[in-house]
Amino acid sequence: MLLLQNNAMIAVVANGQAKRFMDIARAEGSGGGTVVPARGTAAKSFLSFFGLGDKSKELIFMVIDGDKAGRIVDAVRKEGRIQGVAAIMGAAKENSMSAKWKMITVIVNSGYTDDIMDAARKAGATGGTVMHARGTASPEDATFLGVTIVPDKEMLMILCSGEQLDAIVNAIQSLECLQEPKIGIMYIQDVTDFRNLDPRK
Amino acid sequence: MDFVSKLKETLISVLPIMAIVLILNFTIAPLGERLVPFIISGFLLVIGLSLFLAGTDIGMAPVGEKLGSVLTNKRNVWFMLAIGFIIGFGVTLAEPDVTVLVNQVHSLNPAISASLLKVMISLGLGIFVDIGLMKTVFGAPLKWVLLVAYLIVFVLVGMIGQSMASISFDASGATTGPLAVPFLLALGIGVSASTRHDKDGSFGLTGISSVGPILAVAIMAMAFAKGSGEAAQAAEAAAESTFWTTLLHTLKNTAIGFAPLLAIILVLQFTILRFPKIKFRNICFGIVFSFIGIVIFLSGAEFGFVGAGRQLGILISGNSGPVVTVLVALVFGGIVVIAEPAVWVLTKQVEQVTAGRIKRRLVMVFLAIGVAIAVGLAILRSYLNINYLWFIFLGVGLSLGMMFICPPLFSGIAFDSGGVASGPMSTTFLLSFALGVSGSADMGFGLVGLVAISPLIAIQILGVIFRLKEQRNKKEVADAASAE
Repeated sequence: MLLLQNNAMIAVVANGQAKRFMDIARAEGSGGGTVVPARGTAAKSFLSFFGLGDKSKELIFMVIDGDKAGRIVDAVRKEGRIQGVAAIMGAAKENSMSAKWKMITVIVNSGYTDDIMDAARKAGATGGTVMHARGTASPEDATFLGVTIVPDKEMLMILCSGEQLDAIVNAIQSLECLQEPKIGIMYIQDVTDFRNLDPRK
Repeated sequence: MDFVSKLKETLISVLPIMAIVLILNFTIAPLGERLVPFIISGFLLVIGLSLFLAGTDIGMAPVGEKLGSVLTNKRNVWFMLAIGFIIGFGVTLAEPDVTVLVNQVHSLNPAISASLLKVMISLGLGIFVDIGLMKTVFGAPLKWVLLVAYLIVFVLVGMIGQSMASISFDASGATTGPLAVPFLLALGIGVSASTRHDKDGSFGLTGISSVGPILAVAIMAMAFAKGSGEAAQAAEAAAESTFWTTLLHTLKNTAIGFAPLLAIILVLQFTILRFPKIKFRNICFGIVFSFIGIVIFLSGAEFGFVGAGRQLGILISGNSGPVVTVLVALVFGGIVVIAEPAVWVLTKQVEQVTAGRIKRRLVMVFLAIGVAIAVGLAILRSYLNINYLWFIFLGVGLSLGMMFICPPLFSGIAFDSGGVASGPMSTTFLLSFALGVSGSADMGFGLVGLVAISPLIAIQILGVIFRLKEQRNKKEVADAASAE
């Protein structure tokens, strides 16, 4: 198992654009990345109210040197044909108390992200990215007709500025539907650099 | 979810048919005053279907998925079967394809009650959803479940005669329409994902479920043998109704169809599903969108598409003779299947399963040829007066036999995809075209059923090719190894 001491870059792009992104990244020296199908929640609250604004996205996860990551983002912006955002996160060693951007990650039982996103949006978040996931069954989970039951999960990532962080986290934590035990977890990471991939934005 | 992308998908599926109809209109089959309603209804179909599909994504799909995982989490087989049945029944009552079909049956053969037929089809589907769920839970081989089910079908269908047999196979093709399929797939994936069987397990639920309606209609036909024996007459009464009466009529019928499903979902929400507040609100909006979408779609279909299809059938077969009619049917068949949105999902699935070794385009070509032949045969049948039972015995028999030489994964996909090819375009347009050509219910029905059988054979042929390819690859590797 290779342990990497580099930065992590997470890019969320429109569905079908991950390949183009990776082509550019490879040309800039990336060794490769992992692509996950995801769902972007709507930024406009009018559409999100009707549940209509969600869009299919692709999320690219890449472990890479911070400078290289910056160059990849520059190259993608220069090409100007990819719609999306990219966040670069520091390696574990770095001390970045002053980070301007934060990444909130929530892992909950399937079906709760719409409510979480609604609360987060009211507290100032602009949007989030949802991935479908599966929890690994814990040993005490009983079996049904000889087969283990694996819980369905959703993983929600919200990027926000440092000032908004507390408000959003509080809003999520005080959600009524999340008060049951074992419903999910949430953690926060520092983001050293966050940019839109579309140069016009 | 993504209304604009759905709009694109459905445009791709409706535009080619409209183009061909326009070409025919200016060459061999002038539609006259039916042309304008046809064009209007074409666009209504696009808007209605997109709204409906977007609605199912946010409304039905999450309910189906959650239900699948909740049911297995309860660890109670009887509970799971009860809910599976109720849901299968409710979804089919609301399914727009079934509504189109039973209305056509009723308009040509008033002796058959449209609502009774619908209830029977729904009952059949509900029961067979249970059989499919049991298969997934116990991990029984799909082969044997299907073989036994179709053997019973053969016996019953042989007894009821071809007129009702063709309707029963059409019913099976129509139940696996745009509302039921996402629901069944989600339920199947939910159950099999949370039971962690091998991956073959997630396929087959739709395939097994679609046997139910055949049996149900067959049983109904035996019970009412006298009624269906009456001479079928083409009733053209619907022709003078305006768009508004059509709309109001559809609104009422769809509301009646939707009510049970809505009630079921509401009860489930407050008992076992318990979606959080905002999620549930979104699901409700999704269901409302589906409802509006269906109403627009059905009014459009009834207002212009069905009439134009029938008119085309009458004109072309009357003016241009059998050869041209069969040729036109072949073209319609090939284009309809390529245009069907669900087919795109299926072909992608096959490409993924074979890790890209069987290309999407190849699957498309196979399906298009298969369905074109099916539609061609259905039309040819009305000229040559061939008994429909022959088609069923040969077609289904061949598909069942192929399960023994085809990799199980492909058989699963094949039987699931049976209903995929026979989507909203075939039940509205192709079926009415066939009815127009034949001019009688005895010969016209059965087209949807044949369209649904052809992918069974086409996909399994691909499976056999895939297996041969793999064996050759292995042999080459072995030869290379022994050469060294």
